[in-house]
Amino acid sequence: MPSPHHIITAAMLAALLLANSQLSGQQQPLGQRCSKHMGSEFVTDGQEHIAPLGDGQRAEFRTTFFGHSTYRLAICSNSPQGHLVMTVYDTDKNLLFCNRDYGYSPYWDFSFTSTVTCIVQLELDGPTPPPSGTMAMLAIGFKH
Amino acid sequence: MPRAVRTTALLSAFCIILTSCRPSPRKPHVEPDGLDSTSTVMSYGGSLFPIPSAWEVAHLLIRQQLDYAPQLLNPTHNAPRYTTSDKQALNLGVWAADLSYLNTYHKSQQMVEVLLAVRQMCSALGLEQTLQAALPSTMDSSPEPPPQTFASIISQSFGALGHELAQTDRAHVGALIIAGTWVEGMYMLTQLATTTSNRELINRIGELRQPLANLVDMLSPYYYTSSPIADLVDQLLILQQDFEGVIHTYTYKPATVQPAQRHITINSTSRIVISDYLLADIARHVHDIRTNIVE
Repeated sequence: MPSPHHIITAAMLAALLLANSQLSGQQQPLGQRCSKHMGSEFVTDGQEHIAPLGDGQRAEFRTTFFGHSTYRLAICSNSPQGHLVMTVYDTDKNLLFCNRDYGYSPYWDFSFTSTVTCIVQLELDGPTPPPSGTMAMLAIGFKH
Repeated sequence: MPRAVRTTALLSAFCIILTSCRPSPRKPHVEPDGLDSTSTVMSYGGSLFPIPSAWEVAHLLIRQQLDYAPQLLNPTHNAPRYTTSDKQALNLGVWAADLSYLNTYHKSQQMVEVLLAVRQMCSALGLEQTLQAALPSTMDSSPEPPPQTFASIISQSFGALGHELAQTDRAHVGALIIAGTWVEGMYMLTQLATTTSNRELINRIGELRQPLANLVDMLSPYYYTSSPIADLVDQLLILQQDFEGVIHTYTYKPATVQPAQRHITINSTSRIVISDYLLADIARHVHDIRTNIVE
C-alpha cells in the first residue's frame, strides 16, 4: 500500500497536471512541438533557437558541444508541407550528419568524444519554396 | 534522508514556491499558426548562437568527483540588494546556475532557498506569473519522480521566462539572465580549476572561447541601452582578449552512425593548450566580472 507521503505527492502532481491541461487543447507552440522529442533523459538549454525559413533561406546555428557528453538535437517547423532538413558540419565544413539520409528524423542523439564546435543548418525540402512566415526551431538537450 | 523522499520533498517545495504566487487568469501560451518571430533568437549575420547551459558545467564538476563547494554560490541574502532590473536579471541567471550546481549535488534545502531568491527576482521583474505558468504539462505523475524532473522543470521555467521577455520587448532582460548564468558557470570552473589544477576543467575553460564570442554577440545590440550592460560587454571583451592566447587544434575523423538508435558518435578530436599564466588571467577577469554582478 502506498505511504501517505506518496499519496500526497501523487495528488499534488495530479493537481498540477489538471492545472496545465488547459493548454493541451490549444495549438501547440513551436517550442512544445520540439520539446516532445526531448524525453526525460535530456534537459534543454532553456533557450528557444528559432529562425525564419523564407524563400530558399537556411537557418544556421553555431554552437559548441562538449566532449564526453551526449546531446539530443530536435527540430520542428510551423510549415505543414515539406520535410525539415538538419545538417551538421564542423567549422571546417566537414559534413558530420544529415537527417535527409535517415528519413528526415525530427531528432537525433549526438555523442562527442571531444569538444567540437558545430554549425547546424536547417532548411525545408519541398516541391515549392516555403512561404514567408515559415519558422524553424532547434532544441538542444543535454543528457543529464 | 532517502534520495527518493528527498526528491519528492524538494519537488513539493518547488511547486509550493511557484504556485503560491498571486492567483491570476492563466494566459494562454499560443502562437498564431505556431509562429513566434519574437522569441529569444540571437541572430547576427544570418547565424544563431546558442549559449551552453549551466547543466553542462555542473555535469562536468560532478564527473570530476569534486567536492561540493558552497562558497562558490551567490548567497541568497544578497537578494534585497538587487534593486535595478539589470541586476535582478543578471542575478536571476546567476541563481539559475547555482540551482544547476545544487541539483547536481542533491542539496535540497539549499535549492529551496535559492528558489525563493529566484521567485523574488521574478517578482521584481514582473515575471512571477510566467514562472507559475511554466510548470510543465507533461510532468511525470509517478509518486517518486526522478531527479532529472527538477532539472527539466527549472530548464523549462527559465525557457518560459525568456519567451515571455522576448514577447514583451524585453529581450535584453532575457539576454542578461543568460549572461548571468554563463558568468556564474565560468566562475565556478575558473575557481575550481585554479585551486585543483584539474586538467579537464582547464581544458573546458579553453573550450569556452566560441560560447564567449556568442555571448558578446548576444549582448552587443543592447550596449547603449544601459551603462551596466555596456560595462559588462566591455569586461567580456577584455576576457575575449585573454582567449586569443588559447591554442586550439582540431582533427576531423569520420563519425559512427547507429541508425536504429538514432545516434551518432562524433569521433573528431580537439586539443586545448592554455598556460598557467593565462589561466590565472582568465580567472582574475572572470572573478571581477562576477563580483560586479553579485555585489
